[in-house]
Amino acid sequence: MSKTLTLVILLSLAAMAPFIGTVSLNLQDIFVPGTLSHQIVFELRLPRMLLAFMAGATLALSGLLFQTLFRNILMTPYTLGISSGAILGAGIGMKLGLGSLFFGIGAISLFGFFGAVLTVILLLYLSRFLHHDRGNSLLLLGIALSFFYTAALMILYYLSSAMENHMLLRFTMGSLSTVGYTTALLVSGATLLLFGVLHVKRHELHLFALSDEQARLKGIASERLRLKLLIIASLSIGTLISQTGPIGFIGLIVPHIVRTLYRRNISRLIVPTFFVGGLFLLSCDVIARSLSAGSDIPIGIVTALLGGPFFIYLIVTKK
Amino acid sequence: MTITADNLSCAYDERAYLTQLSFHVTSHLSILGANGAGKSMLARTLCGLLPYQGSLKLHHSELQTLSSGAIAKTLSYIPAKLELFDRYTTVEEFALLGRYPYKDPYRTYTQSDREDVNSVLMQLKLDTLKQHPVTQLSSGQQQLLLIAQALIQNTTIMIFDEPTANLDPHNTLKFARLFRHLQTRHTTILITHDLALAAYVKGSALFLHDHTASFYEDVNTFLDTDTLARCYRATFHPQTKALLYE
Repeated sequence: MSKTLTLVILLSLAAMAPFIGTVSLNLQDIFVPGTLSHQIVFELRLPRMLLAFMAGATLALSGLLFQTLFRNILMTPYTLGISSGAILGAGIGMKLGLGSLFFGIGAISLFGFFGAVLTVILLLYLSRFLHHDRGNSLLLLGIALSFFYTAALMILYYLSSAMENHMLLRFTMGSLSTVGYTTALLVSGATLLLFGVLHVKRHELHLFALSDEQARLKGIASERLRLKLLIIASLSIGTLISQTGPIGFIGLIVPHIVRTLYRRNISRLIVPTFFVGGLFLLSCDVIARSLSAGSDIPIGIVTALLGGPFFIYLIVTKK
Repeated sequence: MTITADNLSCAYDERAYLTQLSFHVTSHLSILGANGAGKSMLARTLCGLLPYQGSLKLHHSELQTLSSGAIAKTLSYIPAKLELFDRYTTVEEFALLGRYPYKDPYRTYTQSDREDVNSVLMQLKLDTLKQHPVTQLSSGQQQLLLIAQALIQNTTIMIFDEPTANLDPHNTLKFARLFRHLQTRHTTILITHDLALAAYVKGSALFLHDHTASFYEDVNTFLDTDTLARCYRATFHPQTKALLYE
């Protein structure tokens, strides 16, 4: 029941997405090429919808993956410090003043990507030294890294001009603003790669949910597979964060919501997580855009503002 | 299928290690020892989860040369307790994981896999619980489900790690009878503190002490009151092998 209700709410919010924004559309003109309404829908709002959907799906799927691999529901790109790594990377790129040197990809994006990917590699390297209670230790490492990155970022803020700080702050808040399809298609590619791999490996993930040992005892080369999955996830997240900046909370709450609503085992949650994650962020974006006439509230703020209370509600009403 | 260890050593770290173990299992071996003596470490080594030195052969193949896929088709490990991060896995889905080693990597489980699961669940009288989440089962039922999964994995060797540690007397008795039944068709290894159970399932006994096997003979010899008193530093009832608290 609550599953249907949630899906109906998410779908109806998502259906409103093309019609909400600063400019009100002339509905008759939408399918007439050359008109302003046509241009807004097809050049701005549809790419933005696609980007929002794919971003939500990537964040939700990677949250589900981390939580399953380490059997800890607090694992997300955020809590593991991957988002902070991306922010620091972006900050360094901006401070170095590299502009858009690399084939039209902004230095901020590129450095953000490397910040995320290098953090995952660092976490994987450090996790080799962990023996007992690996999940919680890794989480602590991620939190420690986050603090370290934040401190380093503070130094950057301190050393930068007001204009640079403003750019960096806007990146930190996350944004789904996009023009044309380049960004949306790039992120879609990364998302579909992650989705495809997780779907193919769903039975292996189910065994990981038991224990690493059980996975090995059933014939899975668990260390190697985990490494592969984490590398693919970090590439997807890195690509995403480089384009939108960090968007918090989706990776934590969507897998939780999907588990609670669907009550299925992990191997049958990949598809629902993909769709609910996508629709959830798309809906958040619709709400963000309808709240403030004239300007976009950064999406990261909205997901946390809406998601926080909803998550608390889910936790305290859990039977 | 036989298991042969010759001068086997394995280790977690400098303090937790086992060395100079030699034994040969044809039908059944009970592994006994104090807490922290290394029983589970030995079990993990036998499963191929820990590197070792010396020789450890399954039938005629050295364990370290076998792929994890081949090991999964040869031996199964039944842990003391069912642990599962995923709260919504059902009994049937959990049992089905036993078919993973035989599954085509790019396909889902087949109809014949599901039929296997059905017949084993029926045999262990778990079929009425098929759609129940695993986490709702009692300890006894969870133990039975772990055995079901191992049976579905269809291996010649079955390794049990303290199977009765969480069971009440009635379920312990049921387990013991089932175990005897399994012994007719499987090579079994049992890690336990339960001396009466070790006596009931017969075979040989290996007692781990001071990083090696301080005793390795037929279980009846081990269950001699003096040997028990020396090994466990406690007194046992001569007939029932129950611990005497006085």
